[in-house]
Amino acid sequence: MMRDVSVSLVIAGGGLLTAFLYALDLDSPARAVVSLAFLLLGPGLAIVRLLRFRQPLTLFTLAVAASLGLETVVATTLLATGTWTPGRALAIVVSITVAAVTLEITRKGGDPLPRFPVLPAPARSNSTFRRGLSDERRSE
Amino acid sequence: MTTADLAPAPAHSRFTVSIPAATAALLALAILLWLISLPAIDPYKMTDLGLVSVLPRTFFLALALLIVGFCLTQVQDNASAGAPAAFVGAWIVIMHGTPAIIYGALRYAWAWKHVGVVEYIQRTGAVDPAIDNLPVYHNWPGFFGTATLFTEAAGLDNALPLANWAPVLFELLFAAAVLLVLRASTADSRLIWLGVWFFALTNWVGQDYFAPQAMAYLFYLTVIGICLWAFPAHVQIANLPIVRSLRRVPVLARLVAAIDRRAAPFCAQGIALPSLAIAQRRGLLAIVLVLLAGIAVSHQLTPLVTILALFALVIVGQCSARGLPFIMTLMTAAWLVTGASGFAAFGITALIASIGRADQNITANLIDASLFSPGLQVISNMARGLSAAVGLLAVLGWIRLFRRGYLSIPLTLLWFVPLGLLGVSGYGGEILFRVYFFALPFMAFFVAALFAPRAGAAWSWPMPLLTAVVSILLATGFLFAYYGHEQSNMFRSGEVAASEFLDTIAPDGALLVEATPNYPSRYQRYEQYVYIPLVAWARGNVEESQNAYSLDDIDIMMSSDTYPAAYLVITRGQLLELSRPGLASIEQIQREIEASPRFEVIFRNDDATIYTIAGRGPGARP
Repeated sequence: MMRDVSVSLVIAGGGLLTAFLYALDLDSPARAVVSLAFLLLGPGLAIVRLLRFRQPLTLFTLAVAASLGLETVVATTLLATGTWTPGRALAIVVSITVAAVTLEITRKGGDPLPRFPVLPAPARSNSTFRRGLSDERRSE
Repeated sequence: MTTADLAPAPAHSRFTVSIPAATAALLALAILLWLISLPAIDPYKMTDLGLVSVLPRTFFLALALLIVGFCLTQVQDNASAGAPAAFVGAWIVIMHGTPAIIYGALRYAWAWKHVGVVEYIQRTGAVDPAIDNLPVYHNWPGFFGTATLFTEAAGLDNALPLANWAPVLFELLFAAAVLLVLRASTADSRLIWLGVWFFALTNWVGQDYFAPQAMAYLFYLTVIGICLWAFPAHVQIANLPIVRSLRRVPVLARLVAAIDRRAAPFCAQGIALPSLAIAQRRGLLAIVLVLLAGIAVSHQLTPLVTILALFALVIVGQCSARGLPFIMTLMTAAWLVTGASGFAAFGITALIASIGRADQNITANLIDASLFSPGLQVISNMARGLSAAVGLLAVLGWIRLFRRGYLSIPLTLLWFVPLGLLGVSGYGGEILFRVYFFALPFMAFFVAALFAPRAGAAWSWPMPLLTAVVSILLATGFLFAYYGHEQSNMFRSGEVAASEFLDTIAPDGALLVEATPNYPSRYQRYEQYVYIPLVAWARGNVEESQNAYSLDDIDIMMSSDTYPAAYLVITRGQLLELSRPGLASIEQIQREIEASPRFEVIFRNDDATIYTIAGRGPGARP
């Protein structure tokens, strides 16, 4: 549970740091790395974690898609209403992220989303591969 | 560490190699070989066969090791997702990262133009739906708004670095989204990973560059994945209202019964998906709605496919979120009459006709290939062959599953839904490849079904070997089909220098006459110039692919007082894009221009020449 909270804090911190670096207009590769990583993953991760989903690759897919989707809707709304500035778009995205993280930390736990099912392994006769595999297991 | 770790291994195992260790070694070796290959690749020496003509042997060896290694990961039963994911990821990074590392300039002319639209938003803080130049992007600005946010937040001067790495990122995301779709469709992890693998191996259509359609495609696949996962429904075909009347015909009744018999067990083994709590389903629905909105404001063709796919799933009783197709139709229509109203005013026909030209790509392959160089003819045949092979393997895989008593109705539907695009668009050969692109994730699943064992069974000889052989064949086709046009997709430093020179001297409103738009253009202050290509469409029919102007025409255009200055740009990449008659027509007019006292050269290097009217000088006067 502690680990969960620290992930939430990293997401929110990443968002705030991105906004802070933008406000400072710092010219550094570190800023690019932090900002791009946050925009790609952060907002979506904050939202998808509300669903308590834990399977890594799918969590990552949903998080990136949700981040880009949210940013597209925010950016398009600002552009269509003639109110676009990058700072405003960033402020909205970071606010939504922080709100989602806050909700995640403060609410009572629900059931985690179940993992995708995997068929059980078949019973197999001894083959070279099989033996190799069981050796590997034995050494673990 | 425990004492067991230190105990000597049993004697009999001394000569067996464990699969995880072998695959890890293959992966490491493949990456090492790739890294060694990189400095040996000289893209300036490419022939008309594309990138493949300059790749060293170590590069091909790296690919072969990846193929063997991936197949080995699937020999294990229920291997963790990490091993196959690492191979798919390495495959994508090697295949799509190589140009980003070695070219030295952004690949593909349209990517430069998309960087230009981002630069427009950076500079003006707005889009202009009524703009003359590239209006489609201003009417569907979703992707460009997001890209501008990324560029500005990262403190980058322009979107060029993002665009350079976009193909790698998008291909990784596509593969991850296909994984989601397949995980929601079957519990057989081998079928899932073989499907993702074949997708990565055969996605040659080139819709992964810095472009709206790439982001929209990611959204589309994610929406489909969530629908199959969180909102599955399995209505018996026999009970569908449309089918009930058909059942009176005995043949059809038997067919319907056969389908239902096979669909049920597939659903049972595949979508033993644990049901989600209501709150979780609501959350996923909210994500779907955001993604649908993102599709509607970003691209013109993808909403159409999304609407068709959602209607197909709902009508055939495979998706319980029955409102989604209606919501998507509403969103698309709402954007057409509001945000894109500047464009919709032309009428829906013009709109659909424009879809193709708006985001043209390297795939216009159905034109008369004999007009092109022998290398490009090989490329064209490879692309057609690869597409046909994937289609054929998918059909065979579908039949194999069916004979085993399984039928996935949703994946079959989604495979054929993109064919609906053929009915609504009139833009020639290219639409066929869009159909392929949208059908591919689902075809890849059925290709996987051709090679995967019965669900839950061991994968025994000779199938892993056969899979590796087929993978090598498909990868060979991919190398030609995807990287066949690299000679004209890659830009040399001389071409970039010419564009930068133009940008420093050309005043606002200047006329840029160009052989074709295939050079690094329109990436800075793009709307302030007027562009006239001599060739209307380099890969179009004979008339469109040849120079349409006489020397006098060009003289009159470029001398006109309408423009404060006028330049004619002819570059290496433009010429390489042309068919043989098109090239002859441009070389002819270039000889005339060189000989004419009316024109003077203001910039020349090995890769580009810029002319202006004699006496009008660089950065000319009004």
